[in-house]
Amino acid sequence: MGATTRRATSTPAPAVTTPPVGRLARWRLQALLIVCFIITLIVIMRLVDLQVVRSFDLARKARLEIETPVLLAPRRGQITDARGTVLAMDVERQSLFAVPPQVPAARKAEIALMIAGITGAPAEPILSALRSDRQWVRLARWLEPEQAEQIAQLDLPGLWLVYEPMRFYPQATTAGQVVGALNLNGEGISGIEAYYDALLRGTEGRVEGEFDPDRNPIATSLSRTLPPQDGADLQLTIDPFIQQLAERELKQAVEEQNADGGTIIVLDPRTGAILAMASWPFFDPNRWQEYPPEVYGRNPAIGTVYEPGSTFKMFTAAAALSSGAVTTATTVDDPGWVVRFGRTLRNFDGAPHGPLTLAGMIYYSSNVAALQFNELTGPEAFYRAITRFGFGQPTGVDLSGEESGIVNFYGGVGYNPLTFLVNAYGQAISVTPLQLVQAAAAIANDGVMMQPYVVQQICRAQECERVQPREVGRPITPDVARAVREMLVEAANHYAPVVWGPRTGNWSDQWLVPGYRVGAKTGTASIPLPGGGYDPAYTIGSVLGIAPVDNPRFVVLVKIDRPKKDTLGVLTAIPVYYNVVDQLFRYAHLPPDRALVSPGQP
Amino acid sequence: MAVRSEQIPAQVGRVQLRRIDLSRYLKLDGARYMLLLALIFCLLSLVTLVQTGLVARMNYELVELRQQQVQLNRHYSHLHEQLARAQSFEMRLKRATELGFRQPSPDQIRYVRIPDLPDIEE
Repeated sequence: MGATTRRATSTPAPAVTTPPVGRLARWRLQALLIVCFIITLIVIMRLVDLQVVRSFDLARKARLEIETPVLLAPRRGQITDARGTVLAMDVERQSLFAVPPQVPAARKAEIALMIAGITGAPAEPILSALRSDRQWVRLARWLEPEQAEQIAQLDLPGLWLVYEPMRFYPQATTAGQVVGALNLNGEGISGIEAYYDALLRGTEGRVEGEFDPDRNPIATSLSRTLPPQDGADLQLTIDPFIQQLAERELKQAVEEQNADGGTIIVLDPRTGAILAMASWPFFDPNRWQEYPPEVYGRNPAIGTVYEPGSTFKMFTAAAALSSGAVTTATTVDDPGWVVRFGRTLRNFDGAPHGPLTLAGMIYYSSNVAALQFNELTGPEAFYRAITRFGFGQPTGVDLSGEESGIVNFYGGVGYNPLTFLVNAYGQAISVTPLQLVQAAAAIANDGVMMQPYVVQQICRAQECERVQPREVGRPITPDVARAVREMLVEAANHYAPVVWGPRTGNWSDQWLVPGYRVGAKTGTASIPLPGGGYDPAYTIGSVLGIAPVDNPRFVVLVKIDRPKKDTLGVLTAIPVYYNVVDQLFRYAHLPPDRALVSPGQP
Repeated sequence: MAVRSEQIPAQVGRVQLRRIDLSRYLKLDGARYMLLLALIFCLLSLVTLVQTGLVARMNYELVELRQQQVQLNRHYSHLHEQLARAQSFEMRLKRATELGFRQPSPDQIRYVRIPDLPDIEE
């Protein structure tokens, strides 16, 4: 086999001929370069503008938008009564807002009418709000859930429903004056809401970090959350049954007598806890704007002063016994009237009662005997005792708007000897209903006076602190207290025929509340007129009592302002006092003593 | 039959030459370190990207959970409100009356004294 070899021969590479760059092609290239250059220049200029010239301003705006902390609103504390029933709580309600430029001009009138129809508000203000040049305007605040649902279903352009916290009082008028109300800025304006405003309000929290347009934190950036501290929850001493009882009896009495107002207070003398505090007219804190300021802004039980009248005689007796100048056996003569400092001072009916002890003075409610006992006591000892009982100074109860009362103390500018004498039967001295109750509670509690209070427990972050009852003084000795309580039993039985006479036909003294020894003192207070003198037509009828007197559990004040049918007021107040105390005993499971039942009584 | 015996060594030679060129090409001198750095940078970027994506997804889930929490809180508040309304004394009195309860008169009440029983209110 023959092999043939072929020598590789190197052939020269074909010459590459580059096409000549034409003038047109070169122009295109240069134009492209120029365009690129211009674009680059624009980009650089824009970059310099953003990063150098407007850098600070834009960075500030960006920081504002991204880094503005989101505030976390705290929940306002809840208020409950002694049994845990909620009296005040925070709820969320939807409010209706509008962006007027987004609402079609042709539909504004129609939308205003629709919103007015659902919310019950007048259409004109809604229409004017929709026609305003504002960017964000509120049309209705705190809609009921059903109303919000109806509006949401309409899907109206330019309208927004936004949740807002609202204070809600589920029991409406119950203990309205005690609980108080919040104004539209969420600040307490009366009652517990005002007194404990800072405690109930809590502390605002915040999230610091970067946020997306919906204000949600961006997780990839660093953030810090300071959680809000919710307001403290308060539990009151108010017992729902006793409060309801007081309100029911007060309402009935006021309506029957067409009275101007009234107050009932029930207090536990052992602790000072206020179990019920009701004043007419009632008000609903949910709709506080519908009432005059003197109704929603003032609690008459602590914020209104009046002359206590004969109910004050129990303190006159206590002061007399405490002074040492008078004993339970000391007598003064009651001729029905006496003249002092050129003025004739008389009993309410001008009737004489002859020689009277302190017990007789209280039994007959003798003004003449009272002022004579005051003369024996002397002004120094009398006003010292009055001061110890807390008159002329606030009780310090944890409610806003408390008044001090007016007492012309011995040695003071307003003092005069005549005032001192009429003070003995509760004239020319002004007190608040709660001051009277606190002082009577000292008599009930063997001379130990407790600070009245309404909040019995404060809970913060699951930790609860019980408010301890506080002693504020011992104005009288236990012996004096017991002696005065015995006098009050006789006085209560003296007025019992007002309740039992029509039922049993027995008009003699008898047990006011069958089965129990109850103390009470009535009072018919004259009403000073602005121009001087007293109202000749109407009075304030009241009863201040202790029940039962041997182991006092309740001090009760019933006060009816200007009853129209019963001008002395006492005939109205006594049955109310009886009704309240009778039901209190059953509620407290206090067994009656069958020996304390008068003939004809059940 | 013609045999092109010369072509084989020539091809082998070219292949060897190419191998030599490839190794030289891959040698890259200092540039390979740059490439390695770029590769590491890419890997780290990828890890960061994946992590950021995961965090972002968790963020969305968190936002959803937070919205759920708001809704549940509103629902709770609504139920709490209904409960507070139902607890009112008037409602309880009405319900008790409907069930036939009424206040006893004094003669219908019997008190039983139990000695040495501590006061339940103390």
